[in-house]
Amino acid sequence: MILTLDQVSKEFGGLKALSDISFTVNKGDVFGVIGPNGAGKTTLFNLITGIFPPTSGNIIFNGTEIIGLKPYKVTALGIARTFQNIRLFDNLTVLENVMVGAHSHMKASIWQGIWRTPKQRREEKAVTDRAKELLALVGIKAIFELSGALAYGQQRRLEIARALAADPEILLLDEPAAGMNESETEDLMRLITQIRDMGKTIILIEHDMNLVMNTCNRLAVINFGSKIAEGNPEEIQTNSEVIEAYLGKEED
Amino acid sequence: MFWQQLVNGLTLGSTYSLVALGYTLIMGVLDIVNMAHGEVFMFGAFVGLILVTNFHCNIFVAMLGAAIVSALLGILLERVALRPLRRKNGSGISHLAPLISTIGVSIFLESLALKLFGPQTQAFPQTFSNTIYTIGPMKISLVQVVILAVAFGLMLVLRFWLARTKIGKALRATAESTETAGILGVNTNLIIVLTVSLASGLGGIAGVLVGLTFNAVEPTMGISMGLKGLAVLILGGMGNITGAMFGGLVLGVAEVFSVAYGASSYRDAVAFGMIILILFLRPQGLFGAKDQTGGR
Amino acid sequence: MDILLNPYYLQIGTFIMLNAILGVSIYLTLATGQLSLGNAGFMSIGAYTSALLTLKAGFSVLLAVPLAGFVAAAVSVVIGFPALRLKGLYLAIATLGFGEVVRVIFLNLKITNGALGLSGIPSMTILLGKTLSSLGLGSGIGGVTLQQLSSVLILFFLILIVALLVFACLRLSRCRAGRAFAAIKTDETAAEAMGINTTYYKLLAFLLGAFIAGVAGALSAHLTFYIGPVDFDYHRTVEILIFAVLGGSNLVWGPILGAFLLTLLPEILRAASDYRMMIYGAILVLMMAFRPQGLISEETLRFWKGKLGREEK
Repeated sequence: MILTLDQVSKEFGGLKALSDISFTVNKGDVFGVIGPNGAGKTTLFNLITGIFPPTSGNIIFNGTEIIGLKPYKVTALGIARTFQNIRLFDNLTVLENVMVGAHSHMKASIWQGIWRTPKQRREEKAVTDRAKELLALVGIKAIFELSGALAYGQQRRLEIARALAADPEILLLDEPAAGMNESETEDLMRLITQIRDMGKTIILIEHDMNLVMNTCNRLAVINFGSKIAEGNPEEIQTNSEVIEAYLGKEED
Repeated sequence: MFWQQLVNGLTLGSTYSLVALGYTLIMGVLDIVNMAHGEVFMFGAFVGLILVTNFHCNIFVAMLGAAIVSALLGILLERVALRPLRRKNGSGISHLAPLISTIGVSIFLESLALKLFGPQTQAFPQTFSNTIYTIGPMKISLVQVVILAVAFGLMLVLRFWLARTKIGKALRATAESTETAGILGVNTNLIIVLTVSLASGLGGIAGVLVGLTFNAVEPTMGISMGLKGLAVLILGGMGNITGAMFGGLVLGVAEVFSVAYGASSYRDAVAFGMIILILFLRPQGLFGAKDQTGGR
Repeated sequence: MDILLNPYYLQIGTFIMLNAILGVSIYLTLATGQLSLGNAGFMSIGAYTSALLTLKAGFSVLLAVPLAGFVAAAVSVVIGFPALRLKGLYLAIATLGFGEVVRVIFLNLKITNGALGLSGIPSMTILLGKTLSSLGLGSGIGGVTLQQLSSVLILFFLILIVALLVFACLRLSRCRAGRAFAAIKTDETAAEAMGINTTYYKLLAFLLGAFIAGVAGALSAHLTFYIGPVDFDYHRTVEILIFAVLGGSNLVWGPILGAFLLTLLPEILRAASDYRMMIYGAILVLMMAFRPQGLISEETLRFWKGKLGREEK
């Protein structure tokens, strides 16, 4: 197991966003987190990546407690993410965006950068090449355009490439298929599988059930901040509480 | 001596509180620091001065006049320097745009004041008799009583108004979340204009009060007061009304005591020293919420 | 030849270069999306430090100037560290207060001579003249006098410094640290999520800005022989800010253009000098409303690159 959430709760003022969430993600999983809107799923991602600490509970990654760590340290440890509402650096080119993703694995200081020492030049080249590979993987060709110029679907894929540049063990994808049409979603499904085959573990927040059921091997269902079910896709699809949460109670 | 200085500090501090309230109200509703607030305060002081010396108005009429002119100045500022910015959301320094824009207004107004009123310090006439009241160990002058009464009176009225009246609640709702308030039917543009005029009006009155305190007004008093108001804003906690009121008093007392106990020429540095100290120890200020301060 | 050597033009050229250096100092902090309103304060720390080191402690100018920069940088860490952990607004306010406090302190210290300021500061031009004399150029070269020669060489020296700064900033924008700056400027939370230690980089940019402002201050002290607290007040900071706001805050060329325009225009438009501050205020408001990125931005460069047919590699 590489990521464990243990009784994680988060309160904002008087509002309890998450209550006692516990689950474990194993290496190689494509772990889906699903649930109605506002259930607290993105809050979960924010907790894992350290944007704010949980009110109670613990998060353990590869045996280390990561609550209280600043986000950049969490990323350096091996957890990278995409955002629900795209947060690319639109003053940078596509290629530069991905290279930013590699920041925590680079060593060049500002001094070395300005004087272009041989070590720094080698590192830049290596990172540039890797970034180009990742962009080819996600299928983006216009790598010297400013990232804001890309089409929406491509921007979403750029976010994934940027997160992959951090060479994470766990990749957190927050609604990667939002706003995509059917063929784009098909491409995304293939990409997710490819990433898994690269040896990465994926935690996926998604609303597109087709995508979720076909790529995830395990799921957790969150409703009103609590986990109401956990299991593989078949188990979840036949779980009455889950069905109720999505569709409402049957009229008698 | 101690009690005397305490009275002096509270009197001065109450004017700081009024100015800080102006910052706080605007910060609450517009989420920005109005860097020109100090200049609005300064214009209020001059309007008060002109009304008293040239038009021989009663001091309270002068305060009203100052409040009105300052409020109008504030409305103009909002319209010209802030409203055009609200629809923009480009990249780069756009989030600094309101700050920079109000800095522009502040130096414009300061320069204008220099042209209109001249650079020299002008005397604010003695409006009250030199009556001194003795309460136990403290001596308090009539002027100080008036200042404290006006300042605290305004603060109490403001508190009540915000808590109990319909408009006051609408203001608080807009401060909490402009979008939600709008959805719930609040005319947020109107509230914003109202808030800015209220904040500026308070600043104008504070200007007259400070004129009374030191018997002097001059065009650069805006920058100095502006900085102190900011210090109180941080001390009390950004956007926190109680914090602004309390923090102003704390700063006033601290300044007066630092002068009394030896550091007179560094008086103006006390405010800054406080800023740094608070930022090191408790960035959310005395009354602020913990999560307020991180990130962008 | 005579036009170039006209002392008035040389002086303007010198001021343009000094202002360009100051512009770069605020550009660096803005590069991380932070606003520093205390650069006049760092400038004055640099000026007074260098002046005192050379006047009272017999340091050579060549050593005192960079030292003064380091002192300014050291002070910047003290105010930067608490403020930069927080929202950008806090840095703006903290540096505003800092600038005022520095002014008050220098106004009151005996060693800085209070309101009277320091005079008789060793002049770079004169020192250079002495060196040239000892090299046998005491009566100048060709029709050029020693005085003119020294002044021209000093101007070249300043141009060299500006060129070095531009070079460094251009290199910066293509490396890891520069990308980190740009990421922080656009979206600090996302930048941190990508593994960037945002506090470190914000502090670094701020420190570099303070160092450069300090050096600019020191250089100006040795060019104008006299400094006083009034030279480094809040208005100076706003002036420096306008270089970046007008010229452009996204690229290093912006503040250089801004410094050029705003040093030159007051000389040309003497009549309007009375209204200088009002015009500056209006510029700030108008730029924010209509073109917050300034005159030169990324787009401008791309546009012209496209026109001139040059392509990215």
